[in-house]
Parts: sequence; C-alpha cells; structure tokens
Amino acid sequence: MLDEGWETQDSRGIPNLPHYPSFMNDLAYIRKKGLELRFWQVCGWVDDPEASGLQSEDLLRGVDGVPRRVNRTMGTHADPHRYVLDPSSPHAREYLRQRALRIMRELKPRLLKLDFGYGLPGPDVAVRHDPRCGASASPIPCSRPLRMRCARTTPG
Amino acid sequence: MLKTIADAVREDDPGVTIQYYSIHPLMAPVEDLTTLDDLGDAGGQESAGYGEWSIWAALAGAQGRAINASSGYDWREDNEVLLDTAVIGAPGSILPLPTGGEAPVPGLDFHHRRALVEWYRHSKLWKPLWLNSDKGAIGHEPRPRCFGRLEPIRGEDCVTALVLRPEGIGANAMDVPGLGKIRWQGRWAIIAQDDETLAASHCLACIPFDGGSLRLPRNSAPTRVIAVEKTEQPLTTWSWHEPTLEVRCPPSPEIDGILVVN
Repeated sequence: MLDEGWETQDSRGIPNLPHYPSFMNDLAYIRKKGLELRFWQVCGWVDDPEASGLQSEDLLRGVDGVPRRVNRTMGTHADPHRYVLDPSSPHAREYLRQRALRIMRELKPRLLKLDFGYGLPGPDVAVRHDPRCGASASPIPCSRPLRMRCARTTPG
Repeated sequence: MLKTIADAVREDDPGVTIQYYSIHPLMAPVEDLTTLDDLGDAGGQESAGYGEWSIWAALAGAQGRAINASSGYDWREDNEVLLDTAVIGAPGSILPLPTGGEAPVPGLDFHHRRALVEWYRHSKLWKPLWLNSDKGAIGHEPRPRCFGRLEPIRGEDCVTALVLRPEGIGANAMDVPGLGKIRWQGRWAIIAQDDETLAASHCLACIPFDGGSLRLPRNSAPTRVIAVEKTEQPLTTWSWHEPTLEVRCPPSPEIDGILVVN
C-alpha cells in the first residue's frame, strides 16, 4: 500500500517524482516480487483547485459563496486545510472520474484505499450548490424503508 | 464522490478493490473492503480504540462485508489488536518499521502476526458471540474481552473463532454456547481452519499470546498436535481426556501457534 504522501499533493493523483525519483522503477520492482500494488487516495479534497483546472463553482461554498477549507479533524491545528469538491458540479465529478482513470491506467493498482470521507464539512459550514444532487438524483439509491432499517441496526 | 471514483475505476478494471471505512449498509455497493483504520484517531489508546471498533465491526460481518482488520501504529499494543483480529477479519497492518536508534520489534510480536496471517478466517458472513464482552451503553464505551465468531454452517450458527482473555466475568472458565466448557490461562486465539465448529474442525489453530494452558471440548482425539514456528514440530505438552483436549505452553512461547489435526 502506498499510503498518503505518494502524490505531489494529496488528491492530485500524480507521483511525487522529485521526492521519489525512481517511483516507476520501484513499482516495477514491487510487482516483480509478486506483490500487488495498492494506492491511497483522498476522496473529496483538493489542494490546489486552479492547478487541477477547477473553479470556485466546483467547490463546496459557504452561505457567502466563498469556498470553505477543512482538514481531517475540522480543527485549527497544523494539518493543512483543503478545499472540498462539490459533488453537484459536473466539472468536479468529471475531475474525480478522470483522476481515477488516470491512476488506473498509469499505475494499475489492484486496490484503491479511499480516505477522509469523514473530513467533509457539514451543512453548517458549506453545502453543495445544487441540492438535487444527493436527493432525487442520489448516486446511491436510498429508500425510506432502507434508511429506517439502517437506523435500527445495532450490534447483535 | 466515493461512488464517482468507484464507478470510474471499475469501468477500467472491474476486478479492482475499493477499500473504505464505512460499516453503513448504504456503502456496500461502493465499498469492497471495509477497513479499521486509522487508529491515529484513538487518542493514543490504540488497543482500546481498536477494541471499540472491533465491536462495531460486527455490523459489517453481519452484512457479509470483507473486513481488513488493519492495526495501529504502536507495536506495544499490537497483541491486543491481533486478538480481536482473530474474530473479525484479515490482519492488515500499518505498523512502522524501527528506524535508527529505536528498539527492534520483539520477536514474539512477529510470531503472532505470522500466525494471524496464516490462519485468519477467510469467510465474510459472520455474527458475534459476545460472551463476557461489553457492547457498551450510553454511559460507557464497548470493550471486547472474550468473544467469538459465529458462521452459518449447514444451516446452524457455529463458533469458528474464539478469543479468550483472562479478564471479566468467567475469566478462566466459561460455557461457550454450542461448544461446552472451556478453561484457559493466558490469552488465546482459536481459529478453525475449515468450515466446521471449533469442536469438529479437522485442523484447529490455537495461538497462545502469553503461554499458559487451554482446555476445550473436541468431538474426537487429535491424530497430531503440532507446534508451528518456521518449521513444524510435534507438541509434547498436550493430553486428551475425552471429550477434552488440553494444550500447555511455557510463558512467552517462541512459536506461532499450535495446530490440532484430526
């Protein structure tokens, strides 16, 4: 597993070659040893939106329309604060899709470890621009009976 | 966003595995592998935090979700992590290697890691047998002590793995439903290597974490009892008094575990 730190910046999906100059050779060596490669990937943050071709409209924004930044604890400590993709933005979704496809095609992982889904802001901080995304257009079907069943689920 | 990523990578390679943390049933279509990670969030109490997550992991087991049981970052707490792992899933690891000036990892810890890697349950559908573990309540956190793994075998829930700790009510002896009276000293993980209950398994792994003894009911006398380290040697410190098998280990046994073969 290549955990957090293999990228130029978290969420870019680009190997940090200045830090790991023999990155691709190392991957080949690992595969030659008969091991599978697994890559860590953050699911919703973006460090440098402009460098990733993203605009303010592609990010979760507060009531004032300004993009908000978060970290994994939602705290003020030294962890870097990152922007958050707005899943209701088609451009943001396409960015995620293209990033995932690039990782698959260039690095050929057998597993992706997705992280920091718990590091997304609540609606008191920022919301998606289009509220229909996640409701009627929910990417994960969620019927009321199923929600009720989940809510009742407790350790056996 | 998780679904967007999962859909894209599966479009490229339908066999790729998506690993994530959620035990929520609605995440099942997105997530192939549920992981217990990251114990950096356990406030420096890794084994306690892992224990709490192990209790919650039973919700994923009941859904038939593959579980990567992972670890913390502290080798000193890894034994307790591995004990819970014996019930809940595959032993993943995020443990660090010692760097210059740091103490080497104690050899015994490698024994237990090797044992779990070799003998963990590969099945996905299970539910917990809590025994004297505490599922928690509004005023206190959950805490695993002794607990087991129940799997459906020929239409019945059968105990296929068991963790024994010398603590709590029934700290050294306990009636385990479907199995009978078990007695033990020290901490043990017991894992069936086939789809049979612990009493009927044709190959049963018994992993001693401290040394001590273990007495458990078995359907028949073993044909072989083997101490496994890098090689396999016959274990001499065992006895059979129908229907009970007893195995004994010295303190801090330098073995990965004991295989009971029928």
